[in-house]
Amino acid sequence: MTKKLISPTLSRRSFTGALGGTAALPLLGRKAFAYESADVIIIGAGLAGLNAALNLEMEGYSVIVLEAQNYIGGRTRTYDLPVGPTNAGGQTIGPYYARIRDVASRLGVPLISNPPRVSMGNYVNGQLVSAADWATSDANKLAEAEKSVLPSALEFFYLSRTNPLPDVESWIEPDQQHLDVSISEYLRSVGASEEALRLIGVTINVFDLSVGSALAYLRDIKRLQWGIATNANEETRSTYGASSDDGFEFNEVEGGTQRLCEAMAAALNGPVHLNTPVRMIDLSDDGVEVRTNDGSRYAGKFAISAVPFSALRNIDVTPRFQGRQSDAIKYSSHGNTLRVFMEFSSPFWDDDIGDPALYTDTAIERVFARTTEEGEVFALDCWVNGNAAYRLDQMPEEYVSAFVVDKLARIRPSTKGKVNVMQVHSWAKHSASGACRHAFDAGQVSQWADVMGTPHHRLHIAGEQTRSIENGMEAAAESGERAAFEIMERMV
Amino acid sequence: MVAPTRTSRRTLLKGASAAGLIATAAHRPTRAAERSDVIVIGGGFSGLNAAILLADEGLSVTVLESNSRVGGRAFTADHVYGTPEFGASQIGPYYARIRDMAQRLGVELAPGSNINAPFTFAIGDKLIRRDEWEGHSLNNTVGEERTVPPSAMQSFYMSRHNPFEGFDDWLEPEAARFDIPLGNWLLEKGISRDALRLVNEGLIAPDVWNVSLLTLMQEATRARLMSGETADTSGKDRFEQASLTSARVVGGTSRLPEAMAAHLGDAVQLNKIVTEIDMESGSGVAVRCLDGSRYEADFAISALPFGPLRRVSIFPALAGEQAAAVRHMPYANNTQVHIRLKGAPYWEQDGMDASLWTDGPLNLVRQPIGYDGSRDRLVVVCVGKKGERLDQLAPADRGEFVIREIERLRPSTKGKMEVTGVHSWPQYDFVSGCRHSYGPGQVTRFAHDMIKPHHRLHFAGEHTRRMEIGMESAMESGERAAFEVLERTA
Repeated sequence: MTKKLISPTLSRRSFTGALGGTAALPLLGRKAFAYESADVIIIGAGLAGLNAALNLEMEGYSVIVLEAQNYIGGRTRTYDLPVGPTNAGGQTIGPYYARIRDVASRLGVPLISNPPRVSMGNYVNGQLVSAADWATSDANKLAEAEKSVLPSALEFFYLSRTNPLPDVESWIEPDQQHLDVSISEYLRSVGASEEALRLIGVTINVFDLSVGSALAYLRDIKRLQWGIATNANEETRSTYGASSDDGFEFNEVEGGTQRLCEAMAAALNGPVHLNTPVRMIDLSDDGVEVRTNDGSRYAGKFAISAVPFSALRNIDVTPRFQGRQSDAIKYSSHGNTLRVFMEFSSPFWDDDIGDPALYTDTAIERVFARTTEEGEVFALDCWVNGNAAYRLDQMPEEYVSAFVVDKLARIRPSTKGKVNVMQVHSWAKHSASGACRHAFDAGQVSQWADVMGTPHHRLHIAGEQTRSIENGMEAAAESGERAAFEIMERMV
Repeated sequence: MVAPTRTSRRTLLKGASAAGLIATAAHRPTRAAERSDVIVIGGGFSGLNAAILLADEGLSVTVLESNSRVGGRAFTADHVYGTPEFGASQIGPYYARIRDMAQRLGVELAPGSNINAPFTFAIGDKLIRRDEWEGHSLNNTVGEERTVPPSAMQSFYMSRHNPFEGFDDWLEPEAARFDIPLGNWLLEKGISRDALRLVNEGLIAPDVWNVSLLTLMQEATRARLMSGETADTSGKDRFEQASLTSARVVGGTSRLPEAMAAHLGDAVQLNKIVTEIDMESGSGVAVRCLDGSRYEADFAISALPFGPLRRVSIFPALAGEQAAAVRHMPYANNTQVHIRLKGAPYWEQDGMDASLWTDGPLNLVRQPIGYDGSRDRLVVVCVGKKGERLDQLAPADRGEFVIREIERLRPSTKGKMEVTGVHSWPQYDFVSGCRHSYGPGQVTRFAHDMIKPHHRLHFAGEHTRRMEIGMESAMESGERAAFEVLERTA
């Protein structure tokens, strides 16, 4: 496979500038492989890497984007299923996702409003209980003060109303580090009952309550609170506190989130290199050389790692990362999410509790109901995260489908024979990075957060794990922007 | 599908606890719990050995295996051409427990394991014969190193500088000074930059900076003290040494754990993914599985690798360094592509040794020589970061990438290879890694604390080894855990 010696993506600027840095690099015996150069080599074509690339190109710098997998978008991934485009990863665009909204509007990618939510019933302690009956049900073993809160809303109930962070930025400050304890320890300290802890364990998106850092989670919740200035109806809000129903503008990308990433990639001067896992990053005083698994080499003045730490740890970086930053890259934990997308043949919920969606305290965790803009339910989405997802991942995929359908039929007999699995997606299994998101363990914010995103020689670090105040897709975009700006400052 | 556990003399004597069980069952009419003396979680060598030893002493046991087969990391690929071993294959001369067990169960062993054609080296994309290496222009190593084949560089340094005499010296407090990155120590011993690079290229760990010297020294000591190292074997790498002194299970390694499971009969339950070990709610241990079934016992043994054990909720939760070990113990990678050869022998065509050792994206391209002398297969092995990188490609793309790379390095192979199987240990359900691999400092932090019983839960598995290596270390660990439990039930 002979590729061009010099990339057509080279801009005038890099052509004059890059020669000094690259001329010294020997070709050795690898002439048969690509040898390209640009101002900045970006590793990873998710939102972070693509946003960094766009920002750099806008300022006239040339970039090459390398992606290990065979698709663009990283943790935004859209399946085209019989019921329509279906997002396995990033989906909801919050009202305050300024960068995502801006790039979508610049590139003419249409957004649609987030469809309305439908009520979520419960299967808890062996009983099927409608949302309306929850507060007075026998299955409700919560403490008195918690009884009126739906299981799906307990997480937000506790973490928002007790949130001691004065603002989002303060999570990194020394005087908040006493909150860098496990989420279970924090919840107990604010009076949550053991039953509440058990039920929150279902919804929370970390490995499990006893492992995840309360401080990191409180940061995310604070951002949501701040972004939507929410105060009313806290008790009944579902996990993320608010929806379009509350008058805030929540959106999605028309056709699926991956369309946005593809549009970002298409807006770049050159193509993203797919199926190109990176093997080595050599950093010197005057440049960067990135070598990929297929033997190709890419030379730049700077590089950006926009991959999760679970992928970065497999790249040989010379000189090596040191100290706490090295530990963070090697040992950071990651969350997992398993999604099972299902269609159904008739509105089974009319035959039992009336709520189409279901929160459960079983191995299948939650089953969301997807709705059209008019609020009509058209598909189901089983959503399992953290430790529970890793457990299901141990089964071969075809068993997972059968397991979820069987389990649902057992706890909700009205679904029997009416539900069919269209697609299973596990982030731990179906991504090069083996993860759906970075997650701080208790104690790790204090240990690592201040150094994780520090530039390492000429390598700058992006990716949602290095976010400062945003969350979700916006966090990835924020991190890419930061890394791009850091490099621009060094290049002037 | 829940089969009754075996009733032994001992269980019959324990009528009182059986009555207690009935009372419990009344509260849970939908799911009666199975009761035995000991629950063993994991049906690999360590779990099966623990179960057999306990059953020998008259205890009733239940073995819960998450997979649909027993054996764990002993896995003969009966479905792949040539039935290669995905996992354990070599039975060292001193593997006493393995050899005893095979004899006891009538499983046949044969001498000579995993014999492979010798290596040609592919360094900097150039093919180099072993006898050309010392004087080759791409050999940038220094002094005596120049005579050492790239594949043997690690054992060259490890064997001449190993300070240990006893099998368990590595656990002594003074050994902590060796709990450092392998790379730092090699530099201290004066290794040249290029020799260090060659060690790194072949290492079964992420890289020389992220593996503890101490754990490698334990292995080297164990191998040296009883390996039967002879004039024939010196100067060969550890795979080659082992192939000359080892034995194998006739018909494939899987036959031995299968025989062990058959010996235990219906005590072994397959497809049981454990989700919870509860020692808080009752007087003993309650183990819950993903399918909703429940098992109770006086004691439990976890014979799971830490990867799967991380997914199990344990009440009371593990604490301190033990919790950290379970959560953070690194596991080494091993990902393989199996190939069937067609057409005229490529090694005769280019006149070089058939196997390849490369400093490129693949580690090893080995040609296994069948026990009947056949030479129609290759197995490509990528370990450490090389494995992780290969695993980033979809399984179907891995085979294609590997074939392209071999054809590029060695044109005589062109058009002669067909992929017959792909196997990645980290991506393999139920296991998540090929073996534990202490990072620098972790032996000191974890090795002692992580094997301590946690309430009624004991720990086995190769990662809890004390003296042995390989399959034998799994057997050793199961034996230790069984003895710990026996002492408490006496």
